[in-house]
Amino acid sequence: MAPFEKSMEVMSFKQRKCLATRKDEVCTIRSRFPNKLPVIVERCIREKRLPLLDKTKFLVPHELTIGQFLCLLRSKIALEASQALYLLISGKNMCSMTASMAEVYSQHRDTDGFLYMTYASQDMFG
Amino acid sequence: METSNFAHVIFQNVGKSYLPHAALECHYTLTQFIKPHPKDWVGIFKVGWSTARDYYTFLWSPLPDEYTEGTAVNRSVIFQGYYVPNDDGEFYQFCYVTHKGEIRGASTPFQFRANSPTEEELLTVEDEGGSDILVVTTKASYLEQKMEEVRLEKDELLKSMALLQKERDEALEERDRIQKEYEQERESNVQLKKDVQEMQLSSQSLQEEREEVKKRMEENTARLLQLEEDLIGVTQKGLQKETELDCLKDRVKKLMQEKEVLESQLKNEKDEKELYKIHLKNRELENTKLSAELQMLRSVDVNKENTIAQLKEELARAKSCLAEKDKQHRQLLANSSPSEECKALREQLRQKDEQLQATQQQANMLSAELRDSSSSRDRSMAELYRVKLEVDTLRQGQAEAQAECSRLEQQMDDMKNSAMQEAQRKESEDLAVAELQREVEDLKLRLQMAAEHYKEKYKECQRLQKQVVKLSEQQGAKRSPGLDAATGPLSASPEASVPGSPGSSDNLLDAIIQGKLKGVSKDVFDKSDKYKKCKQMLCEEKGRSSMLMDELAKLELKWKEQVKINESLKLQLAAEEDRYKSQVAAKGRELKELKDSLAALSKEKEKLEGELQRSASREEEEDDDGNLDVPPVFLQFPLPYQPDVPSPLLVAQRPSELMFGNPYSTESRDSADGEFSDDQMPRLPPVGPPSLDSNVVCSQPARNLSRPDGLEEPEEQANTQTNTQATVSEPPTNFLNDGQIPFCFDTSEELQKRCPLCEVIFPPNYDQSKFEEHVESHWKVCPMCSEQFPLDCDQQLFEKHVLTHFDGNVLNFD
Repeated sequence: MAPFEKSMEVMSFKQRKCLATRKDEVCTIRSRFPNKLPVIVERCIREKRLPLLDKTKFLVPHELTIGQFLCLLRSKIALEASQALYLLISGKNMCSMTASMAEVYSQHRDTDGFLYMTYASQDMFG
Repeated sequence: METSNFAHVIFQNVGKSYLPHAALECHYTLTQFIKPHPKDWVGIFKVGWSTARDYYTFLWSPLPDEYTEGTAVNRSVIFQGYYVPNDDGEFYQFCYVTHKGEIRGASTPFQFRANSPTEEELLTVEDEGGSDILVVTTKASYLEQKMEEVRLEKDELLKSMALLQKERDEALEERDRIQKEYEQERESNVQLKKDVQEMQLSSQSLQEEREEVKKRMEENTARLLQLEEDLIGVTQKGLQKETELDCLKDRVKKLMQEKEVLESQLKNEKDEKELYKIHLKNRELENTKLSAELQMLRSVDVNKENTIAQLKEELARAKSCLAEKDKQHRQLLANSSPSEECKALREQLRQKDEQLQATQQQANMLSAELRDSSSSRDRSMAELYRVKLEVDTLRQGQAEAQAECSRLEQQMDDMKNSAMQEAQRKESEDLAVAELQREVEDLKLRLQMAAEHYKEKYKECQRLQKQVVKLSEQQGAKRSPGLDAATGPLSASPEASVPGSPGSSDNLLDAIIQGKLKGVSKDVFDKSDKYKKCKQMLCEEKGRSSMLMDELAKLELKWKEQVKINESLKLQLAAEEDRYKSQVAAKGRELKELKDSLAALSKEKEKLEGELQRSASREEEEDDDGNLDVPPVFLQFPLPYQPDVPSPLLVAQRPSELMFGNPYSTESRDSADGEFSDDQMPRLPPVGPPSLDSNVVCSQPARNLSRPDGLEEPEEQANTQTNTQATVSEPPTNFLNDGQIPFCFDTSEELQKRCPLCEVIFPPNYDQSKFEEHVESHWKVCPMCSEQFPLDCDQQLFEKHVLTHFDGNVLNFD
């Protein structure tokens, strides 16, 4: 499992799939869930302490705030309350906790239609 | 209780916050204290409002459809999303404002906030279809979704429920229907049960009936069997009866046939009787003639007898005289020494005695001769009768032969015809057969021979015919009446048989010649055979005819012989008669002579009377009687001792005369009875006639007696009279033909009674009636006509005779 894990770790969602397939996926998802937004959540490459998520694709409602989403992620990764968690939009941008997902999506969405987010234990990496 | 104005309308289920820009649903209740109005409205007010105009937005409150005053009504209005205020953090409340602008109800305050769901409210749900997508939703949306799903499910369930309801209804209906049916079925079941019970009852009753019927049926079957048996019996009986009936029918048929046969017999008998009648008439005529003759003779005889009686008396007287004279003479002799005269007288006397004896003997002789002649005549008569019968039979034979001849002729003709036909048939064939000609020639030769043969035969036949004619002529000469009938058939038979043969031979010759000329067919052989057959048949025919001819010739010869015998007998009879007549004449002469002698004797005796006294009178008389048989001389003709003994002649002459009357018994008896009863003892006169009757003409007189003719009636009476006498007197006479008894009758009568049949001698004083009974026991007497038959006579003949009286009676009545 290690090599598979390593490859999974090494190769990001963009690297694994070409643009066309990603676009197709976005189309299908949006047709199925019109009031949801497709989001890809990945671990930062340099992050070592935090575990990997079992799922990378997330469909979130428009009104969901980032803070709420972060809470949801923390519960997902099962982090302790003492550990810090930071979210980076498209690998480099930081956003307020109260901003809704709809706002973030409209500002930082990728060309293929997905909104890419990375999480890390220290914000200095972003 | 009066509530505050703000409590007249109560808002229900008002939440703490609502989403901005989203449809908002407001539920409220109009209490009884408020009267709805179409211009009433519901508005969203900012808390802290002061007037009704401070509303943020509003909607007209819809009027309830069926509002009744004094009741509460629930109502609702929906605010569209674009009318509701944004998330501004302010508190708002609903208010019910009447058309007058009065606020009558207000709700609890609420906020319009964009929903920032808490951590508890957020849920991550893995996408069902996608593999790696994690869907994040709020609890409410999730629940909404769920609700939606449940609602859909509920709808589906409702639909299914409706369906099920329908089904249930249907099922119920069906159940009802089934129930009804069940009810009906039950009713019907009950009905059926009742029916079944009834049926059971009826079946029981029927079973009982069946039992009864069975019993009856058994009885009936038994009876039927019995009846069948009876029927079989009856049918068998019927069959038996039918067979019996058939038998009876057959018997009836047979009896009918017998009856026919008997009728035919009766007819024949009648015919015969007719013949007999004719015959009898002839006989009667003869009889009458002969009786007349006899009468004449009798009268002569009676005269003679009278003279004889007178002479007898004279003789008796002379005898007595002579006896006296003898006595005298003896006395004289005794007294005086026997003189020469006396001796001479004695010698004379002896001579006279001798003469007397001689005459007596002669008389005996004559009587014997007469008896012989009469017996011979009887015999001849019997023979004549027999011959007549024979003639009749011969005539019948001739007739049969003739019939046969004619039949054979017909057969011959038929054969000839057939032969002719065949010949003609052959002629038509016209096939020249040279080989057969030789055979034909042979046949011709044979035929010629046959023709010659036929010619010879024909000649023979002609000769025979001639002979027959001659014979018939002879017969006719001899006896015209009898032969007329006999010659007819005799002459006819040869004529019938002879001309047939030559004619047939000619025909045959012609036929053969014709055949030869036309070159007869191949079947000439057959023809010749047929001709041969014909010839043979002809020969047979000829043989038969010759045989018949021979027979005829024999019969003729017999006939001739018979006739000759007859003639001789006749001659004998005539001779006898002549002789008898001459004898009678001689007797007459003798009588005369005797008379003369008697006269002389009387004269002498008168002379001697004186000389001869009562010396040896009785002894001499006894001597006379004893010496009568002594002389053994046959003196048929005039005697030399007529004057000496007249008495025996007188006795002998009587039966001799009666013999003429024999064949005509009844008449002779009549006359005899009448005359002799006066003169003589009742036994003597009927001596002759009955004797002949009994033997010779048994059947003929029987027929005579039954005759109803006028002529015979007196005779029959006479018969009845005479028969009684005859029965008494006949016994001795009946068998005159056998012996000489009647002639010695007077002597035997005096001495002792002797049966003429069995030669039994009875004492002279034996009872006359018993003696007669004894004698009668030797013959049969017809109970009707007292006709007599010998004991050895055929019983059938006797019966036939007796039966003729009954037949005659029947015929008389006819």
